[in-house]
Amino acid sequence: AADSPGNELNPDGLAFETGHSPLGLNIFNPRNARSPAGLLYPPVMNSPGFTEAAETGWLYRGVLEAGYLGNSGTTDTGSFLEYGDLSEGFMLRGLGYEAIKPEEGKYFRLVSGAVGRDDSYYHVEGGQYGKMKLGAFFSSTPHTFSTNSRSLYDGIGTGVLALPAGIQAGESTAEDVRNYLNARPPRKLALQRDKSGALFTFDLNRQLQFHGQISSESREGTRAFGGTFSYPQVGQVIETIEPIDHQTTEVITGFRYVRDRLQGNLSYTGSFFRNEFESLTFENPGIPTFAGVYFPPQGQFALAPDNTFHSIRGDLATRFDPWSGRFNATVAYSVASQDEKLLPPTTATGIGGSSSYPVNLDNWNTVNALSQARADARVNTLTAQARYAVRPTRNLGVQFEVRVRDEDNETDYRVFNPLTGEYGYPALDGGLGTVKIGLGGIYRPSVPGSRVRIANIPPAIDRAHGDVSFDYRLQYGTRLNLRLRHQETDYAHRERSRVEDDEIKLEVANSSLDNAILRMTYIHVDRSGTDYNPNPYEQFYSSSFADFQPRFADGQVPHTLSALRKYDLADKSGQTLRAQAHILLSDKSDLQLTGSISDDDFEADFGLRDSRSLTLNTEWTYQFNKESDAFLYYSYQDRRSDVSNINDAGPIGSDPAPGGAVYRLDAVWSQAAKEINHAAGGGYQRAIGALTFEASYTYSFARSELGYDYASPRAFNNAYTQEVAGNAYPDQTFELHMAEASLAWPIRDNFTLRFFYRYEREDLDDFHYQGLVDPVLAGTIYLQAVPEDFSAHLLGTYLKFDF
Amino acid sequence: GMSGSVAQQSGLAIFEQRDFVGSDTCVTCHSAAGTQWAHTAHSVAFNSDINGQWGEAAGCESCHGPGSEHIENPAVTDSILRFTFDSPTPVVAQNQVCLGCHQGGERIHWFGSVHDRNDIACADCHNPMAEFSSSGLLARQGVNETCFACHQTQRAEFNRRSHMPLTEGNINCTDCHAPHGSVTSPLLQTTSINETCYQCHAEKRGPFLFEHAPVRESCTNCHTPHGSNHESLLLTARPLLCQQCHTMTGHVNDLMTRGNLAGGPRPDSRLIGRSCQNCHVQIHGSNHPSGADFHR
Repeated sequence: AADSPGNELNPDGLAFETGHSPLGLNIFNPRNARSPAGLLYPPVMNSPGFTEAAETGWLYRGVLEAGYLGNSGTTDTGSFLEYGDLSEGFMLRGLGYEAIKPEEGKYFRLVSGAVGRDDSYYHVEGGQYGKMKLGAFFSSTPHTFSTNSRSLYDGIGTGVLALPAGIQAGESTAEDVRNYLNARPPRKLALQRDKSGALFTFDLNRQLQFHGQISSESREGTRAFGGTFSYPQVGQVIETIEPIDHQTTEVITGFRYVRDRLQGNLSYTGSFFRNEFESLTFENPGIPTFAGVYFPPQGQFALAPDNTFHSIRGDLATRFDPWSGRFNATVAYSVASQDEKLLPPTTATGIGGSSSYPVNLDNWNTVNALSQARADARVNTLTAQARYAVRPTRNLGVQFEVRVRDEDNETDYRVFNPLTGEYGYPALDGGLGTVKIGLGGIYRPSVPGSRVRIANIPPAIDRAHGDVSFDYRLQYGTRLNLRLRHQETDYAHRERSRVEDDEIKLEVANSSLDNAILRMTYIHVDRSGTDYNPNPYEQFYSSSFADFQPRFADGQVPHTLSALRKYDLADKSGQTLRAQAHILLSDKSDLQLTGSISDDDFEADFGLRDSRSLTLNTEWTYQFNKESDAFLYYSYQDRRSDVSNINDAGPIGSDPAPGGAVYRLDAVWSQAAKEINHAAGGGYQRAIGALTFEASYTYSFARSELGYDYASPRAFNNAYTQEVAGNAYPDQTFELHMAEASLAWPIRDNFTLRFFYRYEREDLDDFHYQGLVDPVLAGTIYLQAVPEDFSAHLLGTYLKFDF
Repeated sequence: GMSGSVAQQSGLAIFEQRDFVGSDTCVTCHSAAGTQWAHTAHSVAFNSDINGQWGEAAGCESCHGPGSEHIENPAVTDSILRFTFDSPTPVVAQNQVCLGCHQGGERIHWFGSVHDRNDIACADCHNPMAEFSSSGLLARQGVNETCFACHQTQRAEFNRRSHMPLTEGNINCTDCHAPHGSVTSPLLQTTSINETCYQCHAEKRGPFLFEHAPVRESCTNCHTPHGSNHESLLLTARPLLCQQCHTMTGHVNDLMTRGNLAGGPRPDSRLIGRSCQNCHVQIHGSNHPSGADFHR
């Protein structure tokens, strides 16, 4: 993945091609042909011909395009810089060289662009058709998140975030922090992703090919991260910055076997992820003030562990004579594992927790406090699939498919400290225990309600489906397809042990009309399953111990609202209708119309209740002649969903049902999400004498409306008035305009001058960041990485030399 | 092994009892096509015929079939095999010609795949007659344009606020999807959604000491891969995204309102910025012994 040539100013990685060829393809037809599905082929691209190298049999061609890129506007924003290097200066926009030796089927090809820039790419490939291929590539992608973050810490980009001089751990005030941050310069949070690799294929004989690819991808930089030492609104919450220094090495190799009636693939994939930073330690400024609160001096994250993935896979396809039978099958077995050395449960020292329930952190800040030294985490997955298709009559096809995917999660971790003989861990480095004993994280048998984690929960999913489909070709170019599928999913440690999906899919396609091709698909899915247990997790908590004392005489504080249904497991009735019309308006014009409507009803009183969407697309293309064409498109999407929930009244009882003391009906609330998206655009290309003019425009607009309703202000703990709460967040909107134009002028035989202009503008309003001007709010310290709008012009002048 | 015209071997009756005339004959009339085709990989491969695969058919007639009858009466265009809308040859038979050389390998799951069942022809996405693309002999300028010709919703989605760098040219549709057939419904390159995502996001592969079950099940439980109006390709805004499933007793199920915005009377880190992930940082899984709730 991510190894195709191209970047923001040349997405298709074109090197040789400029504009459209006046020659076209068919001298007998002034129009371009249509593909079998009726799509007008675009005009042929114009590219330089090959030159013969004297007496070698080699033909070659080369292009070099270089010039200057200028920009103006708000070009220092994260949104403008997101995925490209559009900085001002010299740009070697493209370099291409291709050599062929037709007599011997040999070829060599080099394509590169933005040489030396952060979004450069280099691809080289050569070989002999029918014998072998060798290739190598390098591709570079910047990913800028923001340029306006302000962080308190020193050591950004390393594994230790230290408070600066003047800000004392646990002793600073909001004012100290605010003053310090306001004086800090803004910082860029960005990654650089560089991927390089090499590949080969060797045709060992006419039937057998050996292939391989090795690639290495590095990601370096920083990105926003979180961090907390206590409950929201009580202890310190602080946005931190994650150091990124990742390396992923991937190896793919295997054999491909091809005979007339039998084909087989056998392949191995290995992926090895390495993270330079195993942990991130961050000091605690500790600004919130709650009498008696313990401020852990620092916290530590375990960053993504080094991990390894091995997969071996075999594919087979064959055909049989009776009824034109075709059979194909795949078996794949993979092992994903990691065995990182575990960090100690905390790095804090001394006595933490609350005065009533102190925790001697010195018993927890060592790896000796762990039940095991390494993660020893492993998931094995077996995937097997087979498909058998027959055509008993000329017009009837029948296809059977079965698929099984079994996951086996072998990760087994006991949350137990052999030094103290206690289960659990000091939650948030001791900071959470200050607030409520139940949240302290360490099991205390003498304390009622001391429910803490005692083991990891290893999720695993086994899924199988079987389906049969009938394909019937009626007269008049009409085709009917009916598919029936039954799928069963077995979950380990989820609210349902089994979920069953039954799906009916009906497709109709008609190509009998001279000037239109029509397709329509209807899908109905019904999901049901075993009883829904809202709390299947007790075996992983201390509440499963014999000596556990529930908080109340009649039981423990409920784990969750019993009537809520998680949507990946909830009963569901879903329908989707899709339609597509391709209309051949004339021999130079096409019109595409596609649409879909879907409605999923989750049959849940609480949780995600339903989700609906409507999508419409249209595109019109017109070819004036072989060299000039235009297109226009418009897309609309409307997505809606409804969610319902109850704000609990606190740990005051054990009833998990709606309407009980904990989940009161006067604290019920609901949210309705409505998302409207418009996208439109167009393009125009024409030849003006020897000149080629191209222009395009892209527009995108999105509005997310999130409204809410509530039975009473109990839904938000009476924290403010209904007038303040209102009934919706400010709309979240996004608007993009991008207009581009270029003019290519062949000033001499081998030289083409090209002028390029782009105007781009993005406006984003996201309520999550609205009003975030104070970096310290209610005890939380924010990076203030507020998304920024931009408006920018790019102007490029390039000279292309064909050699 | 095979030799001669691939088109002939496809078993199409129209090629019986016809003779090869050679590409030189074809290009006397089809000069533009000859010139354009000379730039393509097929031209080099056919002309060299390094494995003696095509013999006298090498060139135009490898795919279009022997041209003798077409020469006799050029006005009868159906006397050679055409890969176009008005071709009388069924799509399945047209594709069989291409598969004569290209079957197996990445196309091993072509038969029965959604594109095959919907009569999509090789020539709908590829046009080997000329340079329409930089590589892959595509029918359009690049992979993405080729897919967007039919999959227009995805084009619109890739222009949203958060998206992977596809329109920026750093990735393309085939980095995740296998248009020639696959063992998954959305034609993924790998055997599952997550395995596909982990190709670039290997740090999220784990497995972790503490897993978040829906993450392990499918990245698409929370993310929409083609583009979103929300940060990080999320399906909907946080904290609502999390509250669709979570209502555990405590701080999880409070309704966050305008009053909790940064400019409101009760600014709350559960709503502002990264919302729930301000504290539950390691939402994709934690490898910390104190990370059961994804704080560490």
